[in-house]
Amino acid sequence: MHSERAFHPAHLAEFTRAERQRVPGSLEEQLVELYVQTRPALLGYLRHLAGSTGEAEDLLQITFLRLFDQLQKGEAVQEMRGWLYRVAHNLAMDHLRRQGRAESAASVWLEDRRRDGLAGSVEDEYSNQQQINQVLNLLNPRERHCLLLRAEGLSYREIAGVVGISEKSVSVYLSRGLKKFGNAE
Amino acid sequence: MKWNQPTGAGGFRHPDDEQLVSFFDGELDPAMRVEVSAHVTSCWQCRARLKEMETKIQAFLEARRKSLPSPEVLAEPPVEQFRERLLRHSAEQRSQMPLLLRAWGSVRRAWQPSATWIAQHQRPALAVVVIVVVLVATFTDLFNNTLAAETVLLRARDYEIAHQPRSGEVAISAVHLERIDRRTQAKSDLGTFEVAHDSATAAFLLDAQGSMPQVVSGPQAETRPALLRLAATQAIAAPVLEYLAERRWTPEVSVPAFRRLLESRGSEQSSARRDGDSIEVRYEFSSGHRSTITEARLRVDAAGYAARQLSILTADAAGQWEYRLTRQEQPPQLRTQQWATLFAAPGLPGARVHASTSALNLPPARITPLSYAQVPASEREVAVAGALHQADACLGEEIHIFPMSDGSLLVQGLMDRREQRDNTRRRLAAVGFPLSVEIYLPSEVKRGQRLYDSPDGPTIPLEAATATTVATLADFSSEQMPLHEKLTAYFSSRSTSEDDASKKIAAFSNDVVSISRQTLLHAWALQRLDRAFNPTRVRSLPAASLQELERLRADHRRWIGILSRQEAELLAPFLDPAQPPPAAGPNPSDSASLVRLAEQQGMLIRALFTVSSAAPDADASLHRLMTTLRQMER
Repeated sequence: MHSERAFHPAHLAEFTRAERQRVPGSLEEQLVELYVQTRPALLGYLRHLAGSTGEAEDLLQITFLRLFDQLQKGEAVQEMRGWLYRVAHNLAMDHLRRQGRAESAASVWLEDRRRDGLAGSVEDEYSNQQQINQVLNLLNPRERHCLLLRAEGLSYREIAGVVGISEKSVSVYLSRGLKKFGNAE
Repeated sequence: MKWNQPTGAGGFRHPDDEQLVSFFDGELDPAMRVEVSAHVTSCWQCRARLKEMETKIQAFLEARRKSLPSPEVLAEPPVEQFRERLLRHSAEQRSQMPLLLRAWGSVRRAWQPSATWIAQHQRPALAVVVIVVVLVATFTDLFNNTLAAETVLLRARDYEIAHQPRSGEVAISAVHLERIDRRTQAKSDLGTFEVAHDSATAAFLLDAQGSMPQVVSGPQAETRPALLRLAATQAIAAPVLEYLAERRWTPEVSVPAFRRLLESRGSEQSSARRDGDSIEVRYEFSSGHRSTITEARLRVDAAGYAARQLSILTADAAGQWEYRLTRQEQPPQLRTQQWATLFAAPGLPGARVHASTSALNLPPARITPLSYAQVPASEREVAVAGALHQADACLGEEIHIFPMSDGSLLVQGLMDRREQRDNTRRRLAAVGFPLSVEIYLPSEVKRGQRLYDSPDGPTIPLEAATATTVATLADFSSEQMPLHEKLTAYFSSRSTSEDDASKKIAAFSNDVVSISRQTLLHAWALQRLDRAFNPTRVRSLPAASLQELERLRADHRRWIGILSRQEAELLAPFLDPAQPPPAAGPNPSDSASLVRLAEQQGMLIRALFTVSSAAPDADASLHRLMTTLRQMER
């Protein structure tokens, strides 16, 4: 006896519609696969940089669009892991710079609201997010970046490439960061 | 800080924090590493520092862990959203790219091996992206008349790589061979080769004037017979043939074939010159070359660098000759199973080209399903249909047999129950030839499995079938059921209590609906069989396969008959005796009308045995139903 499901090809039709545009083995599909596999590590790092998961996800996806462009143009990507972290890092930095400008506007607005006694939820949300990173915020950005990347298992050379400093400086920032960090305990 | 200054406990200065952390991370250079290691072994202070560092690292990791995204966020990547974004992005990018670059980009991407960084990073998770190296040629010198011969050959090769046969197709060209007396310009035809390039393997076929096609794959294969067939009718000087055979040269107009010709020409001289809308490159042979060849020439289109003509010039005591091969492209053909068999038939030379595609640097093309219209049915398909039939997988399941572009068969589809899938897999494993089987459970499909459309085109709509299944047992015993009065009257006289009667009514109704559904399933399976093995497709099947198909069809027809009879018997007591008995109508001749009848009986059953807002006239409906069933009985 056949089960009810066999009569409903609707789910199949819906699925194959999406499936139709997929070309197995294409660059796009390989990137989707790479995205799925590397997402946990990259998303963790990006979230530390960008603050919110939503923004981190967006930056992560843009990173892969960049990778697509690069490969599509026919340019070689020699060290994939370092490349991904570097591009993600730079995107996040750009994002923060832009957001810094937006934030200063927001703080003015927030100041106005506070004067009017209307601050409330917006402010709470902001401080919540700050709290999450409170411990890590003891570190200055360079130290934080180096430590986080090291925690992701990157080599000093890769870290140097991502952050844009020398390998020697990586060990300096790492030891300084660790020291500061430990002192705070 | 210098290491050789004696100080402190170990006789050396303590490493500083940077050195210690680098040591910890295994990032010190080997010499330093040895020293620090020795120092740490002997120095309590530094061992304590290392320990402290470890504690700090752990504290940092703990803080980091707390601030990582939640496991749910990490475990559920928005794959579909990202895929859509990437595809949109990709479409935009592609539309902006220059046409030529686009073609090259895609070809190179498939073509280049992906080794560099995978070797550097052993993390298998990352080992999927292909390294791309594209040499973008500039076409600035398109209008120059003097070109380096090598440059022309490189571009011609690029053209070839960019114009490989499309997936699922076979590229055909006719290569005409003529011999020209260079003094008198008198031409004589030596014959024509048909060259077929495969899209799925690196193999190509040579067919000299309708004789047995020969698989050749680059330099590995024996090409001499093909040449000798031509030589038998028209004279090609023995030293020339000797050299060509030795070079494993194949008579086709392509850059690899041209290069093979040049392999030991014993000269460095080459030139290229533009001649109207084509460019000709000339590679000289050393004077007095043992082959008597003096020069090889390749003529390519000036606009696109497609190789058109290949010439071998010889001079011996008997005269000066030019053997000229001219290529004429033919429309590509679909890579039917006949083609696939030819390209990969065991026993033919070059059959193992799958394993050694390196000769021509061709990428193995993507294997895609073909539609039923593209390929005739094979014996194997029939065998698979038989196996599915045995497992009842032909009934109501979303299972299709896909003939693939590489000549293989794929059985793919959805099934609801694991046991049925196991059973089906067992049956399919017994067919005795290799077969890809991809049967998914719906839950697996959601995790991103690939499913193809039916090779038959769109799935047959099953609205009517769906309709018969919506009834539940609760409906069957409902008092609003059109047949309720008759059923109650009938079963009350045969029951001990009212409760017993209503149970009997429910069971009876359930039987009727189940049978009706089974009837429809068999009709549907029959129709699918007819579509998959339509007269055009089965034309070249052997008698045994045709018999097997007929057996499968007969089995479904037999079941439709049995089930219809059963149903008619069940319903007979409720017919209105006042009406004339239902006459058997004309017998359905084809599966389409059988499906129509089956749908009709399904709808009538549904109307009679479920609660419907517009209650039909029970007697009339029942009468119509019986007529339908009688038609299906045979």
